[in-house]
Amino acid sequence: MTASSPAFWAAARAQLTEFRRDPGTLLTLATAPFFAVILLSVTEHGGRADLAPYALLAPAVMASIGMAVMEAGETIFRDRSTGVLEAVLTTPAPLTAVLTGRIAAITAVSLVGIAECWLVGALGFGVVVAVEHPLVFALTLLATAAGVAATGMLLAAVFVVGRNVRSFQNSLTFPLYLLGGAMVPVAFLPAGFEALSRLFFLSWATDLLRDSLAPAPVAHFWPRLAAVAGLAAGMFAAASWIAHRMVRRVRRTGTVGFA
Amino acid sequence: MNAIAVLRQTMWSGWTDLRIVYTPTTWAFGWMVRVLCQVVFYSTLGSLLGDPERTRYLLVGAAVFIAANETMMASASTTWERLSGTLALLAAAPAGMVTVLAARSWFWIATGTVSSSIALLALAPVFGLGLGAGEAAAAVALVFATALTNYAVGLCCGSLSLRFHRMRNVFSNLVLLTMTAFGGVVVPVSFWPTGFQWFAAAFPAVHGLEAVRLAVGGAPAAAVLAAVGLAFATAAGWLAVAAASLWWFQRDARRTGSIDFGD
Repeated sequence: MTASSPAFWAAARAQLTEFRRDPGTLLTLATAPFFAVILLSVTEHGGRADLAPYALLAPAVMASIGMAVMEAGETIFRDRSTGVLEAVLTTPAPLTAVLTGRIAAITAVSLVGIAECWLVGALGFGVVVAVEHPLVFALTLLATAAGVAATGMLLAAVFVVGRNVRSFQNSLTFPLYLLGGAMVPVAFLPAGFEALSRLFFLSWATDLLRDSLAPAPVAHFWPRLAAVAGLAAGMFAAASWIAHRMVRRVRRTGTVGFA
Repeated sequence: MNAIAVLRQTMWSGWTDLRIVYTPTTWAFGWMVRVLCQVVFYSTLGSLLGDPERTRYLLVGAAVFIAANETMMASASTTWERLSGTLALLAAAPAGMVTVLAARSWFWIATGTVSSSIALLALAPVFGLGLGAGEAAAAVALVFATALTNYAVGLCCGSLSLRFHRMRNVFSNLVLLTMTAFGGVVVPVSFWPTGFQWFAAAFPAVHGLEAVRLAVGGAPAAAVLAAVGLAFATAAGWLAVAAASLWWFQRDARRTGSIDFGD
């Protein structure tokens, strides 16, 4: 089990140290309150108090997935550039354990965005969002965090395998926010886009999270949660497979140290 | 003559940088896809509210602010001389570094104008904003004015980034998001308390965006020109601050021998 490996925890600790060493890596968390102000001002100005939970949930989700793209996605690439990957591959610790540990730490830190955005609503606008279905919220959040971590793992692997792919890193955030229904439910997207977005765990997750904040009963909770968890698991499996292939390739070609 | 030669070389260096930043493929299928998704993200907020007028307001705000977004990248690119090791050489050169650093990131003005204009013109019909040929041409010209004037703000952030290299993206993002929140991009400036309105008025892009809104709304030319005038007036202030900050950075770095050491 990955999380029981000492390497997992050591990697998580190393990642937390990295956050302290370079506060610039927390940029996404610094931007979350601004997005909360921006989105909440739109719903308040439009006189739609019922949409306030949407406006406060969205920047938190954006912060989390944004950190998966900008920080988690960089992990293997940075380790390779700085020579850390060579050292990691010579240890008995599996790369997956190290990678999962680091990305789990990034994802856990990214969830601070939820508190930030809630506080912006409460202190800045006097809008207090209540969680009407705490169990639904907690379980969905857990599955969402797993999906976000899996997204980070997948990107970390893909950015190394296809070096040119990393050129698209900065461009990924808003397409993912849109396809994930971060603010506007994907049902508002054109039919083709909606179908595509249903292959991305986040579209199911954001719908469920929004429902957990509304007083109405949550319909079809378990199948929807299963969709979030299943798609996240699929992404994790794909990430592990690509990372495994990447390690085999760089070992065979002797290019572990070449970034 | 010397200043022109320095500027010519600087512009060429910027052009070379641009070709490293983007290939035609990464620009078209990476950056432009992000730009369009970003503008659609904000515009669909109007659909969520069920208000076509607000949808059009959000579309124009989000599209025009792509120009502000890209010119804020001057914050990071101002520091590229440090990364390439040429900062010390610039400090030693008789031409000095202020002109070079101030002009080296010009390409963001060009790319910002192009991507913002494409987003506005391509998405206008999708979200029900009718633009005639004259309005479209005026909008593109005013988007250019927005990019040009906001460049001075990006440069100010760049002069700070030279001192605090790791924060180069933090400065630009926080300033951009402040402008987006309070500058009439998603809600009118009048939504905010008076103090915030005065604060927003200090940013050139806020006036540039107002000029675009006036032009596409069919306002008299005098009103549009007044807004553009305010954009250039505030930009002059930001440019003066940026130039003073760069000059101070050069003097301080020479005096302390810290030119290649950031953070």
